[in-house]
Amino acid sequence: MSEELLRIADLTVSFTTRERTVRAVDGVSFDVRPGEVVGLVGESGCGKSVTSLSILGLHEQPVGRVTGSIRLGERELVGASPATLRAVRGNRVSMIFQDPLTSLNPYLRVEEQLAEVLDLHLHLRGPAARARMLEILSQVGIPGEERLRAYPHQLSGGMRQRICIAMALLCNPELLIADEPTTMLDVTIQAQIIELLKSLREQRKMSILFITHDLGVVSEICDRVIVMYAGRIVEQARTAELLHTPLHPYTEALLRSTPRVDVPGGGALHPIGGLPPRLSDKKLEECAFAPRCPRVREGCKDGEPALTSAGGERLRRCIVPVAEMMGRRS
Amino acid sequence: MSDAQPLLKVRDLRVHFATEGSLVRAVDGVDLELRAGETLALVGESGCGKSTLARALVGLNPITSGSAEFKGRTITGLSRAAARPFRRELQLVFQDPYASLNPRFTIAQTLAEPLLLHDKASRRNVDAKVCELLAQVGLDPELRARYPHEFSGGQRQRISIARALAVEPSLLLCDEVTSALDVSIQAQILDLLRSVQQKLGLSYLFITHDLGVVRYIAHRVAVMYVGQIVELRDTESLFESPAHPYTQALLASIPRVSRGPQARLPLAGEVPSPARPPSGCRFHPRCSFAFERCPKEQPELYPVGAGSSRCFLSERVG
Repeated sequence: MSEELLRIADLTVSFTTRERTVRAVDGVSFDVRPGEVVGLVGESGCGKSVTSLSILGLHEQPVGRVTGSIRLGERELVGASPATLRAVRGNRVSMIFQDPLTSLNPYLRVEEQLAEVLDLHLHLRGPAARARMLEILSQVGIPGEERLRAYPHQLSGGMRQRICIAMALLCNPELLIADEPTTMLDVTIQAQIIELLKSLREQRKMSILFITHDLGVVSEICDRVIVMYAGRIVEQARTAELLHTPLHPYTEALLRSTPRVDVPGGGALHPIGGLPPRLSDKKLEECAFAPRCPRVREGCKDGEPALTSAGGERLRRCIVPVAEMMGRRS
Repeated sequence: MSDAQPLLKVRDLRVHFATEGSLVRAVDGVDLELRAGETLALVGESGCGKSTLARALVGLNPITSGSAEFKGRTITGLSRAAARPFRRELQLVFQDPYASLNPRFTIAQTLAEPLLLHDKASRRNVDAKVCELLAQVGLDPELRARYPHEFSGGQRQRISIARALAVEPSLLLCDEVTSALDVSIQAQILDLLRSVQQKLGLSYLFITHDLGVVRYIAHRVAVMYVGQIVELRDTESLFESPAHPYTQALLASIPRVSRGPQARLPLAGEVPSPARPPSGCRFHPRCSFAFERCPKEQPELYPVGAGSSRCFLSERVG
């Protein structure tokens, strides 16, 4: 097995406001291997985006405090100098976001935005830069020079996301962080973008950290999935295993609360009662999901369960016996 | 169902907007009927005209031509005063519960306003009515003195629903009401809407782009493409055997947990602008079944089982 590309260990991110301190990410550890697509899944506020922003050092300082370790190859990114981070960002690691309109500069033509990246990172200018732009645009399915002269507002949502992907790929990154890249798109365009990301990953052997709340999207593109809840990892598994036999009640509940297009009547819907916990900086005295958990039992209140192995690469943070989790589904 | 007259009957409705140099045909000849106690889902991609249609029905968009009847009476082309009783009967619930509640009103004020305006309560019993409404949508009436920012997205959507229910409507137009919510919260709101419907016999015109939600909540489905209905079917028939090639492509595009990754050919191209709809069948440039007739003639809605499909292939079958 080859060396991990990204290795995150005990990552904790806390934000201090005037009233209180909130730990948005709490002791998160995981790896991304070369060429692998890892999904980071959970609902609003679970810490998935905060985790991904830490990799690029994009938290506002000193409001956001990052501790732990984020290693990209041999390089430590937590506490790295601004110059080191600049060399990594957009170069070895790129990011695309949910809303392509706000990630593009409305005043600049597509050409100028792409040129800036090439100039800054690769010192490419003139005809060489232009050739590279056209090459990358055709790779993301935008042929011809016409689009280079367009302003972002002249493009459709799907087209804008393709431009963002093109911009992210200009420097041949080893890791692409995609934060809900298809959430704002219509399903037929979402399908196009997912196919595009899959084929780019094949061609380039690039790793993708794919952040989403949509388990359907996960099943299309991810090799491995990490489920987050209340700032911590609650389950990690190969995609098919996780979707087929979830071993954490939260993953199970997430699957059971999603209406299904492929089941008559949309399937039986089981909403998760209550709301996610309010985050704080205190140590948890019980499992974070216990107040909403349909399988809650006595031991769940006795401190937070540890993230333990459930065989192979599977990890989960739960005391319900594995046999019981597997038994009731199927 | 042929017995009772439909609650809502829309005939050849058009909503066109004149912009600089072009005419945007946002809704371009829509016919539909909605029965009492029924949920009709209106689905389609951005810009297909589904929201414009709903807004036109409640008078928020001007109607260019065509008509809409509610309980047998025409509601289009009315003066403000004449339209007012119908305003109460048709209530709209919006996507973003953050933008649709007045941040400077307490929840009690937000709910009291329509109650008093439409004489559903008097000054004396308005507080009791507010509590009743909150309980009906599963919120603690004790919270009524609070402001919207003190509530989560799901709770705010419950408040928006309570506000719509305050004036005892018979039809709720739900415009992407769960799209801004997390799935666990979405399921709670869908359950609430279902139980409210059973209790009060309400009808829903349910606008959404999420076909999983459609299959769960709708009795019938209308699929829109560039301002027109292209398929109108019973929910299960639509999902089991979609007739229109656009519906087929839409269903095939949805990622599903049961399927896993699979090679598929996504629908190429993008939705055309309603300012320049393609000739003939509006879907023909993207359709893999298109033949010589499709760019030349506009297909009608041909019967398919109890529903209909706007495709020449359905004409042969039907």
